[in-house]
Amino acid sequence: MAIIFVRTIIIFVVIVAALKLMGKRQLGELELSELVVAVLISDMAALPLEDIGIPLLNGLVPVITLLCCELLISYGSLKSIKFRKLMWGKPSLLIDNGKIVQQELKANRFSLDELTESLRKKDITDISTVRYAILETDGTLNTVLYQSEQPVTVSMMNIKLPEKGIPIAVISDGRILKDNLRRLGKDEKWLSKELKGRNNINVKDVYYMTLDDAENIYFAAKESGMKAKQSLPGDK
Amino acid sequence: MKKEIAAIALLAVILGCTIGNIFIVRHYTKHINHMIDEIQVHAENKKWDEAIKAAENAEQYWHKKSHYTHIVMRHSEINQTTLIFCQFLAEVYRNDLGGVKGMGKALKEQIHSMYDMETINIGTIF
Repeated sequence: MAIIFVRTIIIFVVIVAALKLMGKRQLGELELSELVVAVLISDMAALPLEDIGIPLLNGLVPVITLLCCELLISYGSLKSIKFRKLMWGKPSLLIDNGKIVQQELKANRFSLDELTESLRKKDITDISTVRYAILETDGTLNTVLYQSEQPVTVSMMNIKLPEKGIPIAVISDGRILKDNLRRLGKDEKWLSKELKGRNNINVKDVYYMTLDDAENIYFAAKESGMKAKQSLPGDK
Repeated sequence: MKKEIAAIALLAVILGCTIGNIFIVRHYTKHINHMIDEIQVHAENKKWDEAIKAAENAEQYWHKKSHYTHIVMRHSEINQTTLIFCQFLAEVYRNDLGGVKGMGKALKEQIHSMYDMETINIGTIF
C-alpha cells in the first residue's frame, strides 16, 4: 500500500511537470500529437500504479521520453511550415463565400449534421448567414459571418468611447500584489491612501481589489470584516 | 531553444542509460552463467562441498544484485529467477548430479530470458 502511495506521488509530480512543460493549452484545443502524448502519458504512468511488480522506471521513462519528443515536435512545427503541415495538417474551408464545400466535408469526414451542430453551438441557426466556416487543425470550427449578419459594434455606430483597459488585481485575498501595482505605475503609498478612503480598512481585510488603466477600481472586502464601504462613487 | 536542447540531452541520457543497462545486465548474467558452469563441473567431479560453496556464492551474488535488478526488471521475473536458484541450490545440497544439470539448465534459460528482455532486437521490439 505504501509503495502505491509513494509511486502515485512521484508519478503525479512527474506528469504535472511534464504537462506544464508542454505548454498552456486547454484539453479541447490540443493538436493531434499533443493529444496522443496526453493519452499515452496517462496510460503509461498508470502501469506501475496498477502493478507494483512493474518497476517505477517502466512508467517514468516513457513519460519523460514522450515529453521530450513532444517538445522537439513543437519546436520543429514552430520553425518549419512544411513540418507543421506534415504533423498537424492545415485548416479546411468548409463554407466558402456562403457555399458549402462538399468535397472538404467529405475529405474531413465531417457530416452535414456535424456542421450544423457545430454552427448551432456558436448560436448560428441559419447557415445562409455564414460566409466562411473553417475547420481548424485541432478540430474546432470557426466562422465568419456576412457583414450584415454580424453584431453591431461601437465603431459601426460612429461612437467614440474611451479605452477601458484590463483590470489588474492589486490585492488578492488580503495580499498585496506588488508586481501588479508596479505594472500599473502605483505603489503602496497610493494603495494606503485608497484604503484610507474606505474607512481605513486593513489590507488583510480586503478580499479583492482591481485597478485598470482608466483608474477604475473594483473593491470587495472580506465578508468577515465588512467594515469598509464596498465601493465609492466612480468605482466599478 | 533551451528546453529543446534539454529535451535532446535528456533523450540522449535515457538512451545512454538503457544501453548501459544492457551491458550491466549482460555482465551479471555472464557472471552467473560462469558460476553455474563452475558448480556443474564440481558436481560432475563429485566435489560436492566445493559445488555447495560455489552455489551459495552464486546465490549470494544474485541476492546482492537484487537492488539494481528490482529497479530495472519486472519483479515477477526476478522472483521466478530466485525460485529457480533455490531449486538449483536444493539439488546441489541433495548431491543429485541429474538435478544439478537439469536445474542448472533451467536457471541459465531463465537468466537468458531476463537478459533478452533488456536487449534491443526485432524479437523483443515486436
